[in-house]
Amino acid sequence: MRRLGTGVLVLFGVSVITFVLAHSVSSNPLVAWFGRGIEENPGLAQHYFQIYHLNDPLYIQYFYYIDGLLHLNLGWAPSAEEPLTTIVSQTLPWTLELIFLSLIFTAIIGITSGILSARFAGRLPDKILRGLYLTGMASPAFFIAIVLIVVFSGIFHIFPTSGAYNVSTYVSPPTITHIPMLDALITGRWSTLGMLLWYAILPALSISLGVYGILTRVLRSNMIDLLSSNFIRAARARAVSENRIFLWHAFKNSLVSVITLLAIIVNISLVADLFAEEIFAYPGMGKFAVDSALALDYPSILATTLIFATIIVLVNLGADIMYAFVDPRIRYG
Amino acid sequence: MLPINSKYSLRAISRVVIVGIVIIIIIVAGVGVYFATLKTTSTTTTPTTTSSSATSTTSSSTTATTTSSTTPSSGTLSIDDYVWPTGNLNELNAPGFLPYPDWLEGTVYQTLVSVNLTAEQDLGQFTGVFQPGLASSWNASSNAETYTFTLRTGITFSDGNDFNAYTVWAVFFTWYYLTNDSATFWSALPIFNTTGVTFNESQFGADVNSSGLNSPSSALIAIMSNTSLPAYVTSPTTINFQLDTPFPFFINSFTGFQGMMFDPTYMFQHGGPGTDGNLNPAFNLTPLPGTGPYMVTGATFQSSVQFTQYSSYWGDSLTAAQIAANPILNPGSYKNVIIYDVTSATTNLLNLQNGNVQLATVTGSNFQLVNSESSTYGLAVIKHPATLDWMFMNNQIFPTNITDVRLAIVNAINYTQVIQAGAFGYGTRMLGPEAPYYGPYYDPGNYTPYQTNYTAAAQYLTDAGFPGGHGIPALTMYIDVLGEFYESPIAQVIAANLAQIGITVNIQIVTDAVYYQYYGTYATNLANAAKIPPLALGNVAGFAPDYLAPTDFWGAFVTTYSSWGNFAIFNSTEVTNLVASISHDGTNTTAITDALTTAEGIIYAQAPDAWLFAAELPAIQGTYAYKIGTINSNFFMEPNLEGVSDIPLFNTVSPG
Repeated sequence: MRRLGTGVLVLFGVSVITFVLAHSVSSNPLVAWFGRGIEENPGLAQHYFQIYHLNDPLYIQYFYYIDGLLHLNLGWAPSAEEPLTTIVSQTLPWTLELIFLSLIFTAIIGITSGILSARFAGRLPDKILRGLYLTGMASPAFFIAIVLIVVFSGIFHIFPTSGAYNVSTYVSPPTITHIPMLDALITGRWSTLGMLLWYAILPALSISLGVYGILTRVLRSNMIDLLSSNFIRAARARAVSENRIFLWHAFKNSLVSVITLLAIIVNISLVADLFAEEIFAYPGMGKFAVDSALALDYPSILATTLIFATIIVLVNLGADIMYAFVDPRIRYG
Repeated sequence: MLPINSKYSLRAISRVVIVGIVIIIIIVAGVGVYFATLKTTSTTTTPTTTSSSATSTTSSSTTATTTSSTTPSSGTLSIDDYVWPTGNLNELNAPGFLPYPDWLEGTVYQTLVSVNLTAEQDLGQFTGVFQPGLASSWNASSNAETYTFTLRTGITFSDGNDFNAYTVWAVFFTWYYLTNDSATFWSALPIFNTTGVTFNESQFGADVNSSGLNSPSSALIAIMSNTSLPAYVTSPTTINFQLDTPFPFFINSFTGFQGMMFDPTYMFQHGGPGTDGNLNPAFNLTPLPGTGPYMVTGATFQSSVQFTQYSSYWGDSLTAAQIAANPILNPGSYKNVIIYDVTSATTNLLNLQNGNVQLATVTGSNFQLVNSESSTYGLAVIKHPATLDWMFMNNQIFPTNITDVRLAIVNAINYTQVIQAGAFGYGTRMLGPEAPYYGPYYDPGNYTPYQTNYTAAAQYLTDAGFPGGHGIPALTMYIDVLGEFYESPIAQVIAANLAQIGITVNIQIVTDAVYYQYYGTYATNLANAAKIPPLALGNVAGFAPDYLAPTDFWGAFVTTYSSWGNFAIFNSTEVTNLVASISHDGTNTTAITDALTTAEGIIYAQAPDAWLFAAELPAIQGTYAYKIGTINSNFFMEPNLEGVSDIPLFNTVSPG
């Protein structure tokens, strides 16, 4: 409960900071949103002044905003002329499936790389792998995305450059969860699922390549430590095979530490998602967030920031619970 | 017993691990090959077939329109644009001068009268002569207060409803309703007497839902035939507009945002227009039907819009000669058109290079790259630029309140360098406040734009009492950070130029908030004059017209009744009166031109602003590019009707 309370406090802090920062971007947000047209339409300007209480002090505007949030009203997106709840319902599923796919890639690449690094610790393969993941971690997300596009789309023509599906041939799966990939999976629309996966591979990979190194480093370090620990010695003394020792004892026990990384990996992935969606023109909430920022559309900036913050808080909470579950020694107050 | 050390034990399991890795690689490679095969069969967006009779040459703009009405259309035209329209695809945003960019303009929505695109291309300017659009003819009363439009028959919206005078009436009053019965509801022009005029939207909508507008009920006809209203219908094909004041440019205003005709019956059947500032979002991604050659068949927010040809498009019966005379009515050569919202410049360029799209926006360094490969790529360049860029000089504060100082500045700027730095050379010198596009209303006094002349500039400074610039403080120049990409190079050129005559410029790149914080109407600007810097570089994306009339730019930029744009805070009673008079001179074009000539003389002599250039590229540092041979090179850009949204009219694009 204390963790939950902390999470709520974090969200409150995020909302305050974002609200103040967003409002400092533009003294006359209506001009920023609508340009010259709004000046020539006093009726429209008056309407927006009323619904956003723009004539009131900032703290009063914030009060109205929080009141709206408590009623599950995220507000109105001026740049899109839509209620933000509608936009979030349209864009969040794409982001969720992209993040999920990137986590799978991160796990596959990170764990494989970690095992190999541990296996060849200090030798050439380890050094190559270390160079690769350090390059990934040191590269900005947008750089990785552009390199992937240039290589796999521009040179080899293997993957599409942009979008979430082929507009000409895409058939939406029946809506069940509102997450297209999941809906396609549930309803057995394999060609649709294949297309969605195909278009999501590069953006997901661009997210994973920047973050998998964290997993690799921790896994490598833990496995090397564990392989020289007493219970491994005892296993060897019992003539347990080295394969079993490596994959069953060392790897399995190292996975506990991986769970602690989940929250960090998701956090970084969400940041990288903004760049990936924008560069790959993936119609998720990350792209909407960037486009909103470029349009100085601060109701949308606020909403997307809060939703991303909520996801991060929930993932952190989930990671804490999972960690306590797999390691009974951990207890939270 | 084996010695226990980690290095040895790690080595011992190598075979299993390596075998596992190899298996994973094989699986991944297999999946990759599968999807690669899948991709080649399902994701091709380049048209595989082309229209057999569509012809295109590069010699004349008119030959692009020889696609005849009997040409079977096929294939898909794919376009990458770099911005999703503000206001989505909802045409009800028109009173707020949105959506921008309006991909549906001309292709889905049409106007009563059309701009002569062919003449524009040939002459590089607006001719002032309109072509029949949805209206077959029109006339104005001698006092320019009553306008009558006779509409074509046999036109239907893409949902099958008839287009007629009743629909025009309903669209007209929808704008009135959506601006809260504002007297300036029509393109912000104070030309209608709306005293006592109310539009009962809910009752009207209910009646339309009951009887429709194909054959409206007698109650509806009675409302729409009321001659005391600003607009009234006299027959299913005739509608009259009664102005409160003579306005010779009323026809022009129909080519603007609010001239786009949509199906009001569909609107009322799907929840109505909404309210001012809270439009019905149902039309955001499912746009209102129009009469144009294309209809929207799918849209994903901030991702893509799909268009398909309307099978019963009225323009299908037009002859090739008629389409050549009015290309905006072209039925189109592609059965399907897809516009993608791709923000990333790299992705846009790759899509163009790979042939994933036939048209893509290229900006900045990518533009320069494409521009340098002229044998491979073609560029959409606006031959009739109307988007202006200039530097405001605060006419109310020292030292830019001194005319000689302003004249020194405008004579010291190297405009060639400015155009090269800001727009890669794609700019047209101009003398504001009018754009070169406006034909007879541009530069009526036939003045030559200011030329770089350091000697003259230095003399002006001496005359002002500041020889060698001594006594002039460093001048702060604001740049909005959103326009920094092209304005910063311009600012540096100007700073270097002014340094030649002893004026120091302090360039400040400020946030949008800071830039606009004191701007508004002329009165607002005047009240804030002391807080506004002496120099400021233009608008983020330049200024572009809202509708085709000289009242637009002249009124906005140099009068004291300006509601937006007179950032120089220029105050000349004579100019204001002259500009105001041109709205009320009936059809006496000579009187209008004379008034503007006098006004221009005053402005030229006082130099309230430093007019820089009219942009020839839609994105100032970028435009739409295509691979030569993939499409015709002489497609038309959207006419300068709606702000800066100079986008290709995709119904004039045909396979190369």
